Amino acid sequence: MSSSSTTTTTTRLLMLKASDGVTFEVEEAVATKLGAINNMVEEEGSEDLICLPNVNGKFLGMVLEWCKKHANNNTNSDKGNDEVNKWWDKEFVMDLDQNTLYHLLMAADYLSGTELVDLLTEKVASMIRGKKVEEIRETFKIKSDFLPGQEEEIRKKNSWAFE
Amino acid sequence: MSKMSKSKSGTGFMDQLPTEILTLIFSKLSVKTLGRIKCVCKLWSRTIDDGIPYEPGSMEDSAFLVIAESSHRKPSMIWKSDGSATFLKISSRVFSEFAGSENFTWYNFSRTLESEGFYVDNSCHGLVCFARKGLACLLNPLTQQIIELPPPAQSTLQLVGDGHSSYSKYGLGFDSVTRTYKVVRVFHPVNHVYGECKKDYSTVTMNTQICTLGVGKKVSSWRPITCVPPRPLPLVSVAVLAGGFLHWVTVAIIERCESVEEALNRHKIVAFHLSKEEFRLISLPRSLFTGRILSYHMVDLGGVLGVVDRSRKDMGLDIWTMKDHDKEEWVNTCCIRLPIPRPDFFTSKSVIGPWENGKLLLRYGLSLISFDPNKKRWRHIYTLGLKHDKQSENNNKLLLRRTSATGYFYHLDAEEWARTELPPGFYDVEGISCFYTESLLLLSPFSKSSPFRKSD
Repeated sequence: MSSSSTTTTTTRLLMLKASDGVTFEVEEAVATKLGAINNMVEEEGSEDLICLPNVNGKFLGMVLEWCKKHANNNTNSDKGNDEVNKWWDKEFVMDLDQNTLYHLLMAADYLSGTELVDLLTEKVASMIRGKKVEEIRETFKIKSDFLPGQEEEIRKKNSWAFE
Repeated sequence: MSKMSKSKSGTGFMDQLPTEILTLIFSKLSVKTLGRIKCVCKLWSRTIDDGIPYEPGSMEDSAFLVIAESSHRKPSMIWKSDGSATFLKISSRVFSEFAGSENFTWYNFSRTLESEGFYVDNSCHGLVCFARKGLACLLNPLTQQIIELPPPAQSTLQLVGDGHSSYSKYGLGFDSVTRTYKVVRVFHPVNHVYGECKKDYSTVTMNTQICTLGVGKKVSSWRPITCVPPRPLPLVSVAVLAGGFLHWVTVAIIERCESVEEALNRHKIVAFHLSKEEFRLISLPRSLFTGRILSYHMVDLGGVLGVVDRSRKDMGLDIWTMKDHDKEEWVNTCCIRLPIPRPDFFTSKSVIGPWENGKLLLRYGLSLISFDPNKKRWRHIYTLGLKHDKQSENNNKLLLRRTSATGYFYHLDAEEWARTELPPGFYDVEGISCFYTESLLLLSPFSKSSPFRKSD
């Protein structure tokens, strides 16, 4: 991705430091896709090193990878960009295991990456759609904590949703 | 934030997500899915119940909804799912549950909504707004969820005669900028209504309050705003939501006794911009005022404001639309000519909203009719027989409210109008629509194929 440095004239680089000490050097235009970093840059201005004590390096890396793709695709103002982004988003969430999905979601939420949160919550929603209650419990390893009879009562009340 | 204390045996992460994220996930699911997954666990059930209904758009798998209220107080709801084209009859007690809701016990709900004076105010994205004596609430008929709006401050309540809908109005709308629902309440002191100032609205002080609610957000308290309707006129109609504005009219039917210019100045639409929270006045189409009698109503034509002129001598309906609120330009979009059941001006006829495949849904006498503006063809719609409606693939939600115990209805029999008398009650008979409709309300007319949206 050598093109990324040539697209903007003055590319400022930011250093992001994850909770485990791993640092990332990112273009400002990429990092500011995250609302939280955008705020920090605007408020503190000159600070080039940003510490993110709530995000682990592995997931910060993934979040930044996503930002990079979207920042790059948005600078080339082609009409096909939406398609490219969509295709790439699909790839991005396709094989996420639940642990990664959870940590990414928390990281994206913490960093106020609204679009990424939207993408990831949609992924979770897609894991719920079309499944039976028992299948959902199995998928997400949820134990029913209803008292005897409670579940039946809810089922009865919402019987229209089961037809 | 995360509930680590629970530390379940598995690696499940759903119970560790913050509530806002969980709500966000659920807001992407259809109402039907939500109804089902309430049984997964207590946390999900609670999150779904606490969350505000749904983001607009998540109702896509429902086609249309008919709520029928009978004098037998056995309301039933019929819901058609789009994919399978089958009808589900939900023998829910929408209205009686409403009445039995614990939140309302202090108002001694022992009878139905109707007898307690709740009236349907308006609707938005399938949510219905009810109001009664300074108290308003929203009903999501699909989930049967009732959202009680906070009672207004006692000081404002004492001054207000909410029992008289013509002097205090509610309007429910959706602000697409903040993605929140807003309920607007316009009211004025009661002593002006009953006192000597009754007819002189220029001396009445109007007040406006707003209550906000959104996905995952709690209902706010009433917030007064400084902007009030431009002229202190009574808002008489049900609020109509279109193009980001709520609309009321000041007068809907009069005998002509003034000049066209005078009438144009006196009769306006009061519009409220839901994002900017500002009122403005919109002039009505000039041609409304050319006949002997002024009779019209507003309608939401899939996001476009329409005004239906029903004062024509030939009993037809003319539809005027305004696509751009800033240009304030009325365009004559459609003329509807239908057979006349009897030569009676007062046969109620109105446009309810967009129907499937670019058609319009009309109420004509006590029948429902669909009208195709392109082919100029009309068809009778069978509603409660429902077997006829299998082809419907739209998101039209229709609220049918029955108000009379006995009566008769007109229906079309081989292109002729026939009158049939019916005992009270609702029927599931093929071939005729057996209901008495005094008040029809399209709950969610976001028809994709509305002919009025082409310019977008």
